[in-house]
Amino acid sequence: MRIAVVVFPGSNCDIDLYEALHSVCQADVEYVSHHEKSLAGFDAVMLPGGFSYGDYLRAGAIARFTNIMPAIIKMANEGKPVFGTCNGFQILTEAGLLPGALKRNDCQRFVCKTIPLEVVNNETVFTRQYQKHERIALPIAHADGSYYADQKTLDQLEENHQVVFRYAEENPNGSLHNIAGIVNERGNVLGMMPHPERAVEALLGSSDGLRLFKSLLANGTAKVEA
Amino acid sequence: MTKVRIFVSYKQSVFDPQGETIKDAIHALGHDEVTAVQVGKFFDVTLDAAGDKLTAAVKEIADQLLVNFNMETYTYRVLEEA
Amino acid sequence: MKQAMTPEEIKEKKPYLDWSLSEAEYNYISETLLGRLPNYTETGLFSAMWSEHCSYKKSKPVLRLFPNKNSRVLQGPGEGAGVVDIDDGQAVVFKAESHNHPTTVEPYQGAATGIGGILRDIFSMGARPIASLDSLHFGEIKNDSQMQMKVENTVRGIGDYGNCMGIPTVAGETTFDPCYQGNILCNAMSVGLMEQKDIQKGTATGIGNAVMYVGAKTGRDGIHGATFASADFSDENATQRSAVQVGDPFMEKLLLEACLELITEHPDWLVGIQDMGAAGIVSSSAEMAAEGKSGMTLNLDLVPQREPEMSAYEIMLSESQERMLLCVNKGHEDDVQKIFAFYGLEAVTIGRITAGHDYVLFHDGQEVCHIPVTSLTDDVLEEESAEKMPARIEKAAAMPAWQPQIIDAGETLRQLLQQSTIADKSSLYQQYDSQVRTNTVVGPGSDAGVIRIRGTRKGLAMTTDGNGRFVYLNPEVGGKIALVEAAANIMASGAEPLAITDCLNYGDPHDPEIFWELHHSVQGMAAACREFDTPVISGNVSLYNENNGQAIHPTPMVGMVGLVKDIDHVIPSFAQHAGDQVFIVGKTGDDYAGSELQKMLTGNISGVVNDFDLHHVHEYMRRLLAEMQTGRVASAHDLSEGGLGVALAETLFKTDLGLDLNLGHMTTAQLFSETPGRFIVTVPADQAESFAQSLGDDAVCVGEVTNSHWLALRLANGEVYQNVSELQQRWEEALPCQLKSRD
Repeated sequence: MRIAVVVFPGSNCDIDLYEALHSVCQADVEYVSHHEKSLAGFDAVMLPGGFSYGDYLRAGAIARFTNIMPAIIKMANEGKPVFGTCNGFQILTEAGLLPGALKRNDCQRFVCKTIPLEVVNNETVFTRQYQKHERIALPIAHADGSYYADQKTLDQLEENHQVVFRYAEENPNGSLHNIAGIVNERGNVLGMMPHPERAVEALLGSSDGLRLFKSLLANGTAKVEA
Repeated sequence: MTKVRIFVSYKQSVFDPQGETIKDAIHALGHDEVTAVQVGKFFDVTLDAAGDKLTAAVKEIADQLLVNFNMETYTYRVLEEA
Repeated sequence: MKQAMTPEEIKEKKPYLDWSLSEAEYNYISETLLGRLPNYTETGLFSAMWSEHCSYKKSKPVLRLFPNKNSRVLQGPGEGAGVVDIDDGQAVVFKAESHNHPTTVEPYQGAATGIGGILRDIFSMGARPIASLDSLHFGEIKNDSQMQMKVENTVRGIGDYGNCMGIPTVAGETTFDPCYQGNILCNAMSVGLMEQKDIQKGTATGIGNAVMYVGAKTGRDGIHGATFASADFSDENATQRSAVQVGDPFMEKLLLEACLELITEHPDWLVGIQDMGAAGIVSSSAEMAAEGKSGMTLNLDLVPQREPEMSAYEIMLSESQERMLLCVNKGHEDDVQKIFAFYGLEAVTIGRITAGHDYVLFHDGQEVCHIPVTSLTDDVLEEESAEKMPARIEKAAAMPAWQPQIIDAGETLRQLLQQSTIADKSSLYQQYDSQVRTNTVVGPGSDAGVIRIRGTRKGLAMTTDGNGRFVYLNPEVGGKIALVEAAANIMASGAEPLAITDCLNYGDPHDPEIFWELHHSVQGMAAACREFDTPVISGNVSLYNENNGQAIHPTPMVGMVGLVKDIDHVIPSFAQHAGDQVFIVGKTGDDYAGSELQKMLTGNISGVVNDFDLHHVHEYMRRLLAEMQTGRVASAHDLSEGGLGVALAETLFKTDLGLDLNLGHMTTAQLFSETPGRFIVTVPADQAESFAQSLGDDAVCVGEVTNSHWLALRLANGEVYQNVSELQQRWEEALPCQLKSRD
């Protein structure tokens, strides 16, 4: 499986994703610049955390106008795995690939710490190696992570089992339904505020994020059928 | 040239914690008569258009870029007309 | 050309006095250096370049006391940052810089641009920044909503800039004291990693080579920031306070990536590179020309400008952020331009290297400056300074030492844990991304931050330390303590100290007592640097830290970096297993002058800080480090503010363990003594004997780690029996609570 890590102007967790895949999982991974127009030859694409375009206007709002975006949307529509963490999640919502939006944290501050999550849905290509309702600990590091959607959208998310991760003990940002990560209806596009790529080595404190990448890699190049 | 001011804020239904925090600070100043604060932002856009063309341009700029309709809404007014 | 005054009018009206250039300096420039009257632009350039901030004219004689070489130092002071060999062809690059005045005036932007500036110093050397640290000193926050806002905004400024750049903030310190009420200290340190072959210099050579300007456009930001940093605050001065720059971390991130791509992939295109820091274009270009012994001609009309109708003087002195100056080999201008264009940045040729040694500027088609390069950089008149021992020090020596009366040691400990300087800082540092780039082995809240070096077994430990109280009471001993404290933090993490950077924060050096403080504290630091073989490889001096004539405590900040040889031997600062033996390393004396205990019980600090045997402390610290490197030590924590009592509580926080210790050799007061160079070390029971043998008389085994989550201490004249959860709760809640307190 060949994976693209997209580098937007201002991305800064690109190296974290790259190294998690490359050094820790020995996966076939490559950086792809936002200037590129194609993702031909890649089986999955990942959007890293950071501050694309400085988070100016709204987090993730401007990145969606880059050259690479149509290619990402195309992959999503083809059912190939698309993953966004933190700023990547914000970009996916701004681009309309995932429903809802990420608001400023309720506490109005950037928050960096490791917090407990519940794996709500372990039937996605990203979460198969987790147990349902398993508690894991992942780092968060964001100022705009409060998930918001209207009631109808929230009802749909719950009904379709699109909520993948929930904050388990404390809700660090005011997210509705304690949502930390969601997939699209088809299940091939995952966006989450926590950083699994920062939790792949015990030396750095936690390896609870590793199975997310292993789940995906074990899945090979299979597409998710609609 | 026309100068248009586009105001963007959270929709009525969306919780605005920044507004709440500022309201508390205003109360700390002693202005208990303040009952609500809503935070927003505005954009002064100068463009070479008028009439329907202007309306259409502003709508497209707001819809496509300045506003996230999942949580925000906007109004605008013309500040200066040439 | 827009000349506000003719040279004759300048001579007569003396506007330079407002720009901190003295009459003697002006006369020396006119009569000796130029042989004519300088014009308006030239006078402005001299006043900026001859400011203390750019020239160190007052502090230079003192700075010469520092050692700045050893076998590992590849680049000492004088460049953007110092460089130290860490083997395998790699080098660590680091520097600290103060941004006290801008942060006092506008905490958010002042702190943010402080981070931005220090990061540029690192990547201008060719290194990628891998971690940031801070050292913040605020006034008291209790019931002072203005100071509370300053704390919030300073921290937010540091966080927003560093987080956006994607550089983890991994360590630092935050203290509170009334002496900083009108002048807060914001010192930022950045650490970078590089291949030794990529080391860059701020130099410009090669006749015909291009001087290229890259990054953000120039506006009227912070004109005279350099001289502003060299003037003290008074309320009359408030109008001057517009000199604060606004940072754009997004621009800086792009600039970082573009510069590193140019440096590492196209070394043959580039001759030299330097950050445009204080005094903007003039300092970077003049220093590069001086370093290369070259002449330089610049056409200011080519400088990208954000505002219309800027004068030559404004363009040259602007302190707009996120800009760099490059010297590029002739013929590669377009290549360089293409690299920056990929990142959406401007790169513009604004001048050339010329034969001779003249610094020539054109603006609006006219020559506005024509002076020898070195007149700006090398010919600065060093200032002799008068010095005198402060009366308070003489008086204190004649007084009997203050002796604390402790009635209930447990209650004293509870109160100490809630002092703002000691209390948990996680509500502040959780606003910093401490993990980005996934190399952070130890983040904020420990003795030192530790970053692993990917692809090797090595790591880097780093810390910032400054304690103005000890330096105020005894500058020389206080200077030594600052260094020993930093070394203790580094060694408690299992790392070998490499070198230091510093920020010397003092009041107005024209006051002989303040100059004496500067001189003697540097003497103490220098002695300790020699003892620990940690040369000073970079740093800065921040003088005039006063508000309405009231100086801060003299506060030298030491930023130290250490090398971890095996990342698996990084030592945690908290207890690990029940049954481990607990040792106190280093002897405890009656050291209460300047302690948190004294401040808490008397509201003030006073007395004489006792001297100590630097060599002896260093010698047993080395033996301790050797024990750690063989894996015999389970945890180690150095003792600082609040002494042993506070440190014991800290080693238990966030664990579910307890301690049961027999401290019969100590009094309850000594539990809070702040004798420097001490550690709490826990050692697995089967290693305790050999550990005790190696440390000999310098360590005493006092008990063991328990499963009970209680802190139980038996002292010569009392005891402590405290529930750790309760202590932790008080420690954690104190700062957030004080940051909200209202009258």
